[in-house]
Amino acid sequence: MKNIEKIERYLRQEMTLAELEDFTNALIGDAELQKELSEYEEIFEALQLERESAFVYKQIQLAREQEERTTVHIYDALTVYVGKYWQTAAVAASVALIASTFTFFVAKKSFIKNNNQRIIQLVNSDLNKIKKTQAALQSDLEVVKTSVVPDYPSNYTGTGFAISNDGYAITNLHVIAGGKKVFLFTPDGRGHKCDIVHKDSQNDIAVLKVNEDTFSFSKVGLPYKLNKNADLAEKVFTLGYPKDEVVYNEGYVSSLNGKDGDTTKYQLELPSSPGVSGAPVLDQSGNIIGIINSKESMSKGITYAIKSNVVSAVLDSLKGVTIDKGAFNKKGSNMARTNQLKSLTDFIFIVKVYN
Amino acid sequence: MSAIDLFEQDNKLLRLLSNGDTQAFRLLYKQCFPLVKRAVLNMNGQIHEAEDVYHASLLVLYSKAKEPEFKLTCKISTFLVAVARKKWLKELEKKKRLTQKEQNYAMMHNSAEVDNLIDWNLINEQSKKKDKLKLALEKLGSPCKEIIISFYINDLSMKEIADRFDYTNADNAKTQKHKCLQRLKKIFFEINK
Repeated sequence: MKNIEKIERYLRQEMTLAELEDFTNALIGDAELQKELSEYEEIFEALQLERESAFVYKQIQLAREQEERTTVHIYDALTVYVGKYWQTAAVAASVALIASTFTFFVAKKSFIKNNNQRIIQLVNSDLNKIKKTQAALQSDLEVVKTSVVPDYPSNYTGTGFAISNDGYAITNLHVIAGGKKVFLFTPDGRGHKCDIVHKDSQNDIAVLKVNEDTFSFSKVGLPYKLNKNADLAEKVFTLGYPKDEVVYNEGYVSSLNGKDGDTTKYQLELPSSPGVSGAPVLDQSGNIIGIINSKESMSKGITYAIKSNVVSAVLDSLKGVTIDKGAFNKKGSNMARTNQLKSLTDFIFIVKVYN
Repeated sequence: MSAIDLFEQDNKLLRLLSNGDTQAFRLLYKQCFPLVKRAVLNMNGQIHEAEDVYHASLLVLYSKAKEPEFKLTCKISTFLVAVARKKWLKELEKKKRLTQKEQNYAMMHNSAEVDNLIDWNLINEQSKKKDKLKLALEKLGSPCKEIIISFYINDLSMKEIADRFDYTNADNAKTQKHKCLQRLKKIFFEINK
């Protein structure tokens, strides 16, 4: 064993008793080794100090993150308080959590960093929903018997897209969390009552299923694949429903992570307006790379999208749900965009939520 | 809650802290960071500077807490804020931003109780060592710097380091690490010459 290795084992107290004996014997009368040992000792002391410093720093970072997410406590408190409505409470609270991490928490964070105050808003038609969801605690989200489209105005609207031809679809959880009845409207103007199959509050994803036996979005299969990674600067486009008609927008992937290094989202430079929450973000071939989720309120273009592989992972975890993986669309890139959109519009639709 | 109870609580928190308990760090951050922040802002500092000062002060408390015979004779928050003021004063001096106003402020708030608990010479000595190490690591350059930091500071295993730095196996990485350490030592002891 070389000297340096021995010294390291000695200083890190990794030596066996026999090694220790040998080493201390070797030290006696070897001034050179003694000097070397004392020098390394100093280095190791400095390294140890730096190690502690790094540890404490990391703990402070963790504490700070926790502090900025204090709304987590709402979850605990509500679960205890509401008792039998715990499930509803949990969903509502987590929606409140999602919403407030975007508005309140970001605002607070940017204050600390002394930036201009930037606030993210969820790209939903109604931001009051946070209050309303909390008010909706006492009501039950899931049980909806009627399948007739209500004749009163909807509370919130968002966008959704199909993940299987027989009626499974995806939107943002925050789009549907504020009401009892969820309908999707196909481009022919017909409303279809949906069941909520799954809610993922952590990723803000809701899986819907059209509650009709013979429903299909189109005569042909899904024209896109869902699990597709995007590259930096990749050009993307989206179709969404900020109004009752579909609206097209395009932009590019400006960062591979979302705000504060959020690895579950992309940052896009893409105009977005209320109502496009849940809209698919597509690459040039028309494959889905993400779902529009939120935007920076002080900026026109900065939009955040949930990555499609996150969505895909959520879907994979669902049991008893049959989902088309969709065919990878290669020829889309050769198509004129106008023709490409025609094949897509059957699968992207407006989601309306009623009380 | 009586003063004694509060003391008990603080000493309990201190024990948790010395074990590296994340919740203890969190509780302290909640209770004490706002106080440190206010102290630094009152002494001509910025928020990001307050964060650095909090880090430095907490480090003092953390290493104190690890000494088996250490017992607090004041509240943790008092301790942290007093250390923070002192640290910040030194920092101001270093940055040549120190004025009479801050000196007076520090004098007014000086806590003899906390001073008795701390060996400032030792702490300054340690700060100097850390600064020297940082400088030496900078001079060491890539990839040695990263290898040393990964192993000795971030506690990565040799296997993880081999993977990350593309060495064929842990033994090769270890040989390389030893070479880096030898160079680091050389640079470290050349700095003062």
